[in-house]
Amino acid sequence: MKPVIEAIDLIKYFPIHGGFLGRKVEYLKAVDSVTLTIYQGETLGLVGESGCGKTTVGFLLLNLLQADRGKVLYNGMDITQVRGQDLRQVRRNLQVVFQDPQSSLDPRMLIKKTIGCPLEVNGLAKGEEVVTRVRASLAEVGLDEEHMYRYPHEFSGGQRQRIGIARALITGPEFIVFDEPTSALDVSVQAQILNLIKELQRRHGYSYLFISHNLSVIKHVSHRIAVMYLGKIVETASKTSLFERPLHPYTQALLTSVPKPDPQKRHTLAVVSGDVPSPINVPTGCRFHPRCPQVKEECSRLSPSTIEVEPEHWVACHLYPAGDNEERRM
Amino acid sequence: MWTEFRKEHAWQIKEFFFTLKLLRRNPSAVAGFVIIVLMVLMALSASFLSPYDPIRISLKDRLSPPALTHLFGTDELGRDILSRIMYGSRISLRIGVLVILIAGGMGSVIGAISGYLGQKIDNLIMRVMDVILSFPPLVLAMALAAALGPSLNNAILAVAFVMIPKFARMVRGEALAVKEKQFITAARASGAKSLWIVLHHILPNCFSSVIILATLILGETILIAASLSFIGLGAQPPTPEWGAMVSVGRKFLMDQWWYATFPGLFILITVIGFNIFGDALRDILDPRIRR
Amino acid sequence: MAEPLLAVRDLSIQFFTYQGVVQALENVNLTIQSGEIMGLVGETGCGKSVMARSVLRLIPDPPGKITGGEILFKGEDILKAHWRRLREIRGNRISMVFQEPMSSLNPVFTVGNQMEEVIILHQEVNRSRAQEICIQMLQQVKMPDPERVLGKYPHELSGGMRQRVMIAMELSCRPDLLIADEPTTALDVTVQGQVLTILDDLVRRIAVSVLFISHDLGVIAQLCDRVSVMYAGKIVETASVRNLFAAPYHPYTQGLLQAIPSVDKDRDSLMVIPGVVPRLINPPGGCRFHPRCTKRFDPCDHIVPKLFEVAPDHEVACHLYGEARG
Repeated sequence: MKPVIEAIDLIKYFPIHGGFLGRKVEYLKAVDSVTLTIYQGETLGLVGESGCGKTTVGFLLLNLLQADRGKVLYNGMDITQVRGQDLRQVRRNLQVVFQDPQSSLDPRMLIKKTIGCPLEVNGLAKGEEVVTRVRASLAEVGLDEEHMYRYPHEFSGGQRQRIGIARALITGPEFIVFDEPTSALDVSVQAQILNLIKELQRRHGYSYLFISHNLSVIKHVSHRIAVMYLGKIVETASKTSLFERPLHPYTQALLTSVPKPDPQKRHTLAVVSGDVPSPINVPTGCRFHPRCPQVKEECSRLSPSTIEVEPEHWVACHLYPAGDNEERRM
Repeated sequence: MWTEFRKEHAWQIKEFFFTLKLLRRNPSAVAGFVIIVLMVLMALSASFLSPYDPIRISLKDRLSPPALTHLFGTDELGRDILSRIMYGSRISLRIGVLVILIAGGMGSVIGAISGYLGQKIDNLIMRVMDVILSFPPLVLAMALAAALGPSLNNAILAVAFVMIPKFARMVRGEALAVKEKQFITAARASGAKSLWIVLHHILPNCFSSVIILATLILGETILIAASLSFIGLGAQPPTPEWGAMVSVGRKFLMDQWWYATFPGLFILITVIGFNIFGDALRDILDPRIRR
Repeated sequence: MAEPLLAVRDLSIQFFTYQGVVQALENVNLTIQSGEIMGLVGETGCGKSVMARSVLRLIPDPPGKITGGEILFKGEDILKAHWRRLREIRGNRISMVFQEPMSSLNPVFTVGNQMEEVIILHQEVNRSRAQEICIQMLQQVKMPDPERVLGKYPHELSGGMRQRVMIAMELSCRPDLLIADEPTTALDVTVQGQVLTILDDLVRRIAVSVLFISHDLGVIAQLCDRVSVMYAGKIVETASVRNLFAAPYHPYTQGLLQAIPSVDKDRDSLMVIPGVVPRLINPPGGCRFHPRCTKRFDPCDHIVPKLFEVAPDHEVACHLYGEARG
């Protein structure tokens, strides 16, 4: 399978300014050496709790944020170095759908203009052609032509997300980042949107990075899944492997914490103690060690490397030492 | 053509009438609006409703008190004060509207660019605005008007300059908030350039705040322009500008009270009218109250 | 059956807005027994928060008006209570925990200050005794280093810790009923697990009944004893949690259960409830769910279904079952 997007050792630190003269006091280590690959036509789910850096990864992949170090390859081309007109060219193929239906659409802008914006700013179409393409895009997401003459507040949350998706589709992209697209929606609406997202992939062969904190949603849409914790990817595997044999203690904790909608299967929900630490003061060694129920001595000293424990199943954890398997990147 | 316009702006038209409905229910809005409308009507109808030619001199009638022939009395050259006040409303209105357009337009764009681009440019622009704001508005306007030369148009430019930072400051604040919204990132992700984003996204979202600020500043503008005329820097004689009339009328305040009082009263009423209307408008346009 | 701790009977609430009259709640019936955790589940706009706030009469009077019904707390109608009596009840006999701990805790006062305030208000104790009680309560919610936490400001604590502080604070006067309005929705899932476990453990230990409001069916399944499902301002189904999940009767409940993705099951497409939640200014006539219901038939669009006991301790408001004529 051909990789569409490859992220190699991405690093993004945000400087925190403090003190009297606004000097840089410390760094928020949002993304700390993240490597991942997304293949043609597949959905990679990126799951983690708040502050783990998953949204930052999404933005880095699209070059909406400049990485401090590392590369992002789109079909083999390094897009971190691309600027200006060439970057705008590349952007047509890499799109994004945001989380908040309230703020992802300009409340003062006609839907027609919002969806048509990528065409307009890139000079790809004018006048009547814009109307045609917007109509087509709306149809793809299940909305009518007359909707383009309305404003965002006239639509429900679910419809607004559809409009956001229509906007992402209009330039005919190859890769789309979905940043928590259903987190702000009700359950019944979420189902509609998730079905739509999957249907679009079936129809057009899009490749997706699907970011969410909700494991059930991730399970429903993804082919492969990467688990993030505090700026690092701790486990990557196919959907079945991850859910049947979660290797990293954090993944296991995450899976157990999700309350199952089945009262016959009551289970403990609290398997880790403590709060998610701040990405400003990251723990030494393995970042999960202060909360890990299976912590060992070396966990506070050494950062674990990423090992391929089974085919296509990588973990970064001292429970799975390098040994015979050499450290491998995916 | 018209139907396309109607389709695209259907909601704005609806919102406009909804705002009107809300305004109708608000007593201060109605009061302010009535005052504004009366003033506009007076300005528009001055040429056919005014009883006399405002600059016609008639020395035999000089300094006559209010009577049926001259409802507001006459000035020291026998000119009818009522007529002068009516024509004066045109001038005040012209000053107000031009100042708002110039200051509002330039100030908004400056503020939006400053807020959106942030960091060094923002710092630079805002410090310049701070310098301008640190002068008492009247003093600065006087200095500028004096430097440019005493004339009505120069007064307009001077007052506009003084008002620019107010708009810039406010729009910059709004721009800072709007900048963080996801639709701005979406626009960037679509490939939009900064200037496009400022014009098509940031400015439209600041529109209602600008309108409100404009109505509130309108009153202050008229006041400053009147003050400039008061000291001789704005409208020049024989232009019947209200402030100028008050200025000259000072001398006669003891015995011929009508000379300074009526123009002064009109300044007062107009400024209050705009202020209470602007206040009510701000409350009404507040999205929390609307829902 | 013993007298219920809380009995909401035919409660109707309307909001008078510029746009029109919002029928937020209509003839809502709910009972909570002593010692049980009662769940109230529904999607956005179904009225569950309005329901929760009305128990403590926290609905702002314009624009909201209680247009009918009664709320009986241990037999006493809260809607008719004098404001002095309400003050005695709030925080003391009935407490409430909200979704956003940052906005329910005052950012300019320390945590200790706010917790002590509640205790001093309702119990006749001095400050040092109140402080002791605070520390005890913080220990109950497994807060590490309670003495230090008392001196901290809300913004210095994480979301999970703030919710635990809220729970400790609201339970400090040993109320009879705790209303929890989406207390863990804003928290990360691992933190949610901790807070729910602490809450579950604590309320059972000090015998507090809970009205637990959520849109998350998973949480309801794991925590609650009984549950009511709300849709568009009306209760559509009430049952024990086991029975509701095992045998949902109302088409909306069935749809909801089929629409949630689960870590256990693998489905290609999620079952979808067509349409959207209606605006409550002009709600659909008859059964409010009928425009979206695949099983609707003749009476559904003009006759309002009443709650009908379709199985022991399992009520539904749907024309498909029994003598549910309005």
